[in-house]
Order: sequence, then structure tokens, then C-alpha cells
Amino acid sequence: MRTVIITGAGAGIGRETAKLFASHGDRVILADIDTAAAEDVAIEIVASGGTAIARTLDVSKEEQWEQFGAWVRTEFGAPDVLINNAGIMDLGGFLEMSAAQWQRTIDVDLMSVVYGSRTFAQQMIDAGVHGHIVNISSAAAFLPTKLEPAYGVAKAAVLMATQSLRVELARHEIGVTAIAPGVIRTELLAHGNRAGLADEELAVWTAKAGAAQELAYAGPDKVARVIHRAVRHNWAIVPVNPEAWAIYYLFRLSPGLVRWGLGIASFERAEAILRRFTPLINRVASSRSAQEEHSR
Amino acid sequence: MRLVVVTGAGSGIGRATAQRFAKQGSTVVVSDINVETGTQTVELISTSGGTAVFRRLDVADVADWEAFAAWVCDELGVPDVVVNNAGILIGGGFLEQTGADWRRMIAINLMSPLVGSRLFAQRMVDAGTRGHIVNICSVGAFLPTGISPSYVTAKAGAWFGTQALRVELAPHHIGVSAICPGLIRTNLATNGSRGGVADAESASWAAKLGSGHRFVGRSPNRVAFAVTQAVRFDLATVPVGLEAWLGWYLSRLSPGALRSMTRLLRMDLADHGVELVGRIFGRNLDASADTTALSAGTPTTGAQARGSK
Repeated sequence: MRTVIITGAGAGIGRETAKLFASHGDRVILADIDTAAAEDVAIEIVASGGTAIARTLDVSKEEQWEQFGAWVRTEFGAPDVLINNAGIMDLGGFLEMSAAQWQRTIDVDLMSVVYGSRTFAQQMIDAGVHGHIVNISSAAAFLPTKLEPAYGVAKAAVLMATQSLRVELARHEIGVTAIAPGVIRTELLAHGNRAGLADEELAVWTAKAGAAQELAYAGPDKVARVIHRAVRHNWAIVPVNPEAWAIYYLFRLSPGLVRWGLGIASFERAEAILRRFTPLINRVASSRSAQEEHSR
Repeated sequence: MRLVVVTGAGSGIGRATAQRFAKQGSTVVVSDINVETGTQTVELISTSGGTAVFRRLDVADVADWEAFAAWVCDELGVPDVVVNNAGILIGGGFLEQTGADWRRMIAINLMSPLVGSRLFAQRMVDAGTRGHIVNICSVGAFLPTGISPSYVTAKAGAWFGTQALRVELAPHHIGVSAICPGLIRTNLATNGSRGGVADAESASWAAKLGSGHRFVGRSPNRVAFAVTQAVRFDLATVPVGLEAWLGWYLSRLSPGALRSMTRLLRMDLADHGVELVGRIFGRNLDASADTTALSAGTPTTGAQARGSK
């Protein structure tokens, strides 16, 4: 039985990935800062016949990774697959975000990948496990926008760290993959903050942005399937959605063209679009909940 | 008269850039963590008829950055050009470098140019200055490697942040450029360190690599020229040197082909290379390495490594 570690497994992409690996017979370790959420997923997996263990982990803290790593090694030995999925997305312009907000994004989105990869790659090498490490980057790594520059910086750095690790671990026969999902129906925005807003405004904004993300056509299960395939085939960089593929190639073809296009995007426009689509968002949300009622 | 701020201006690219701007008639704020080399740069500029002032800056310290930006704007006005040049090199594999090595690298090579950009860009916007921000990245921003993964990771982040800032500041008529030099003759390696080994060994490693790095590569003046050209023509990304142009285009054409090339550069081979470089270039190195090794224990020398690129 393989041991698969997934961070941020309490929701979204992490949850679906955990369920998918568990359904293929792997033992999944669900790490999340939200212990209750991870436990719920573990209960769900166990109820459907899988093996899952939930564990609290703040991925931005190196000492927590060390303790977590030691626990995994004693309990199960070196893991076969590590999926560094946990991440946050705070919105806000380059100048709007404070130094502390920048640092938080870097700590959670970038340093977590460094700490996790270091901890478990070493275990895999020591135990001679030909394992796999998957880091969730983002299509934002190819989109230098005004909406979330800190997130983009962290994810671009994750992409480079992942490729460097891939180069280095190839001779140990450990695969390393970067995934760039695109817009996925998760709670990423609902859990994030937007810089430069007062608290009440912020609550309204995150609720709206979170509701808009609910409209995304691709579910987290799609990313989970791509992660599973990437581990099997040892792919290097894997965009998931069509827009992620498009922007990946377009940014390589002409960064200048992408920058020009993104010059049009702004918070004012994002808000105008959100306002216009609020009726649609509400309609979809209500029809979705009606469907769920119906299916019950 | 233009006001230009250059970080890490105590040596290498920073010093050359400060001198070039001074020669063109700008007033230059020379900043470095190393007071000695920073004041030397000011003296060099003054003796050749330019205007420069020194102020110490530890770019890893956000509070120091804020004090520095406030001081520059209060004493001399909002700068027209800011060159974020200060950076460090830490060699060693992904797993060899400790969490502390990684944090230091990210703080100095990734966060510090972005922190500096943020502070000065805000003041440029407020004052309506149509200025320019130049971040010295590296061709490393496009080269995944096993020999200094933290360096390339930090530079990739810094390069991307520079692109995002360019998009955001364009409506304010503030230009933002990323310079990506290839191999340049500087003290970057001399002031660097090797992760995963004892302090003394790291110092000797850096001294050996540095002995060669001082002679191999292009002159920092080439980069200084690229900086002034980038400001003049508002260029987005400027690779310096053939290897930098190759890295920039190859990383876009085929990241896979690039990775299969950089895969050949392994840390154990790099260590042999460093030994060899030390033997060729560092004849009197054993003596100097010993003193470096001894003084590496003192906090001042350890911190000096930060400021200069």
C-alpha cells in the first residue's frame, strides 16, 4: 500500500485528490491547518472503504514540518507521494499589499513547498523510495496582473523551485511535477483576503468573489485526475484547464503581449463584472441548491 | 538633476551602475550593508567629479527599508530611478541548504527588490514622478538548476514580480525593468556561501569559487550600460551576455530541453569545479581562506556577505 501525503486536504483540490488516491487503494495522510475539515474528509474516505488519517499541519512553519515528517516516518516509513497543495490567495495590488501580507503569501505558498519537499525528498532518498513530489503552482505564474501579484510571485517561484528539484532528484528516480490548474471551483477566494479594504467591505467582496468562483466550469476533481496521471507518467509542468494551457504558451511566446492584455484588467473592472453577473451567480447558486435538494 | 538610488552599490554591478549614473550627471544614493565598500564607491564618484551620498541599508530588514526610503525622500526628494541590485549567492543542493538558508535567500533576492520597489513606487505615484524602477534579476530566473536552487527560485520570483509591477505602474508612467545578467565578474561568489557544510568549509568554498569569479565573465560595466539603456528606452526584460539571451529564449522555446541541459550540472561536479577553480586562480588562497574561515564566525563578516552583488 502506497503512502500519499496531501497538504490542504480539508477542501477543494486537496480533498478531491485525497479521495481519488484513496479510491485507488493508497493510504492517504490528510494534512490541513483546519483539523476538523481534514477529519471530515478522512471520515468520508474511511466510510467508503479507504484508508485515511487526518493530521494538523501549518505548512508555513518549518518546525511543524519537522514534527510531521518524523511522525510519518515512524508510523508509515518514507512516503511514496507528496502533494504540496495547501495555499492561500490574497488579492490586492502590488502597492496595496503590506509587507506583512506579502510575507504571509510567500510563507504559505512558497516556503511550504520548500519545507515539504526538503523533508520528504530526504526521506525518500534515505529509504531508496522511487517516489513522486507534486507541487501545485498556478496559471497565475504566467499572469503578471495587478489583481494578485504576490500570489503570482509565489507561484512563479514555486514553478522554478519545482523544476530545480526535478533536475536534482532525477538521478534518485524521484519524479517532481508542477501543476498549473487555472480557475477551479474551490474556496480559495472565499478563504482569501483583499488588501486595501475595510473589514465590512472585505466580507462583502470575498463573499461575492467566492460566489463567482463557484461558477468556474472546472471542478477540483478534474485537477485531482490530472495529478494522478502526472504521478503515473512523471510529467514536468502540467497546466490543467484550457485557459491555463493557453496562457502557459502565450506567456512563453510573448510576455509583452500578455502584459499588454493584462493592463486592461483592474479591480474596478473586476467589480463591475461582479456586479453585472450577480443576478446570474444567484440564479446558478439557487438552481444548484435546488438540484441538490432534488437529488436527495 | 536626476536622483538615483542604487542598493548593493559597494561593489560589482551596483558600484558600476552608481558610477555610470554619476558620470551622466545624476546624484546617486549609494547604499550597501558594508559601510566600508559603500563609502569607497562614494569616494570613487566624488574624485571623478560626481555627486554621491552613502547610507547603510540591510535589504533583508523591512524596517530598515522603510527608514531608508523615508530618509531618501525627506532629505533628497523622491528618486527618479531606483536600482534594486543587492543580492547574495548560496550554493548547494535543494536538500543541502537549510530552511534558514532558504529563508535568507528568499528575503534578500526575492523580497528585498519587491519591498524596495513597493516603497519607492508608492512615493513616485504620490508625487507624480514619472520615474523608473530597475530590478537586477539574473539569467538564473530562467534556469532550473540543482547547484543553487534557492538562488534561481528567488530570482524567478523577483523577475515575475517585476513584470507584474510593470503592468500595474504603466498607467502612472513609471517604467519597470528587469535586468538578467549572465556570468559577470563580481564578488557575488566571494561573498556567498555553501549550504549544507560547516562554516569554515563554506567560507573556503566561496573563496575558491570567488577567486575564479573575479576573473571570469563580463565586466559589471556591461550591466551598468544595460541598466541605463533600460531606463532610457523603458525595456521590460534585458538579458546581458550571450548565455543570458540563450537562457531567456531557450526557457521559452523548450523548458524540457533546458532542464536536460542543466541536469548535467550536478552539485558534486560543481564542487570539483570549484576545487579546480581554486587551484588555478587562488594561488595564495589557502592563507586567505584561513583568515576568511576564522573571521566567518564573527557576525560582521557574515552579514557583509549580504549587501554586495
